[in-house]
Amino acid sequence: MSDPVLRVRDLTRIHGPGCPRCRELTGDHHGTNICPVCGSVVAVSGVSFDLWPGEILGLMGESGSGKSSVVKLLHLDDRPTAGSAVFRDRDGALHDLATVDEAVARRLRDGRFGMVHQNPHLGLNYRVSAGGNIAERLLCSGERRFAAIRERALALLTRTEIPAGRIDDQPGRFSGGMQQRLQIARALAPQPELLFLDEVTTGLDLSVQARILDLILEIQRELGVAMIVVTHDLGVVRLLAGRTLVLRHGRVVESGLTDQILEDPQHAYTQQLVMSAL
Amino acid sequence: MNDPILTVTDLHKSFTLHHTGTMIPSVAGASFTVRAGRLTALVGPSGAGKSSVLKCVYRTYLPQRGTIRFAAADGAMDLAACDEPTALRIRARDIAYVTQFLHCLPRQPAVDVVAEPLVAIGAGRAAARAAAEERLRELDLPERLWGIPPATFSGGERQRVNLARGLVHRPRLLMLDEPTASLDRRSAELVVAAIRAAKADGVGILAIFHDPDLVAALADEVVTLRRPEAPCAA
Repeated sequence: MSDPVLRVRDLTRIHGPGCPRCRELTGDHHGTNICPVCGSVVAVSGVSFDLWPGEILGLMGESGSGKSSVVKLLHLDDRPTAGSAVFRDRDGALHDLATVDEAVARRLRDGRFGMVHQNPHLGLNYRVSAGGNIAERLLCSGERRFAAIRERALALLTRTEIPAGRIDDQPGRFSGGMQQRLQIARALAPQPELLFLDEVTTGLDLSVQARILDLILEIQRELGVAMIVVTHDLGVVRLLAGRTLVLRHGRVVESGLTDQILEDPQHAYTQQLVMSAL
Repeated sequence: MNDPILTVTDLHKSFTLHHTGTMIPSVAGASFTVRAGRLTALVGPSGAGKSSVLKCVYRTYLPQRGTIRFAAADGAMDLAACDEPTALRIRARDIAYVTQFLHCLPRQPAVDVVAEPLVAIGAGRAAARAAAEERLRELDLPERLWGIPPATFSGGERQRVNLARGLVHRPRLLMLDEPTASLDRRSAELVVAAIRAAKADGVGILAIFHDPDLVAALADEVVTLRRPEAPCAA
């Protein structure tokens, strides 16, 4: 088997002063992620997993379970308190995301990673056009030729089913579903090797959700890009992810094949989540 | 030709429901073999764990005890213990699991539903579609239905789509959970013919049939499962 795209080991993020007992006194058995000794918030603790090339991995859990915190650490929007996350780029170079300097972090974010947020306001620039949103990413990743940028922007808009005629419209004039598709186009612009999708269908109409999920699957098939999908929606992981990690209080309480997690959940919390599904 | 491709030994499966503190036994010590080009039928009363055995082999259920030795294209392994990426790879390439229910996207045309296992292992979309059409033709699904999502199909049509999907990438192991349940005679005959053709093609089959006549007609080996003990406190 090939090497993993991402090898995460004991990833931990504590907000606050931290103390030697933070991790020991929080978590599933204690029913909290707030340290009773120092009051620090243990957002992520001891998270370990591998992400394989072309794989879609689901991170599932309720609000506050730490799933978005994990993604922030991996997307270099935040730095861990402990642990490592080694990213292998397509040239075979290894980067420990826990320790890379800011210049490398920027290069990885701009050229190798893509991020699609739940809230398109976090992922799009509303002051420039749809085409400009894609061009920004291409410029950041080193493309300077105007014709090439315009051509790639058009191709991405077409791929994400945004009419080419709207290339010069600002995203604020798009529907919610179209803004999400523009975020996907923008994230894909530099041909990333790792794509993060954070609750990308939450709050959208069902038919719009379905179209976005289909688009994500098609893109994964076409480009073979590895993805981490954060969601609280069991239907989304069932459709997209081959494997799923279930998080609670910043810890992975269960991991497995997605259908196994949903049909034969082992942990009491996962059983409760699955039973709560509509 | 008829080498064992699946050897299940002393398989036990139970479910522990944490919120009620209950343990529900499902499979109590199943052992059997499936050979290439042969059909092993699981029989037993309702609740004997027949479907659970298939789900354990597919790794949808995690067994408590026992081994599931599978001869994959690239070597033998224990499906009860192998890592998850390996299980996913074996699933995609070597095992097809056809249940009574067709799980597919409600917006995907039948031909793409059937082609999907081939696309998933890297076949081009055009080649996958051509193979899918061939399977649908063999199973006599009218051509006018190929471009329509199966959600609107009759039970018999849907089941044929389901079986075509299971066979399209020529798996080493085909698992069938009541593939002829609720089918009319004509549809059932087509399904039976496809099962015979798969056997002749060397596919090993593990099947559950509700009809004893089908067991007599198709099975090379019959394994009787006994009902496990009643649920108890975990």
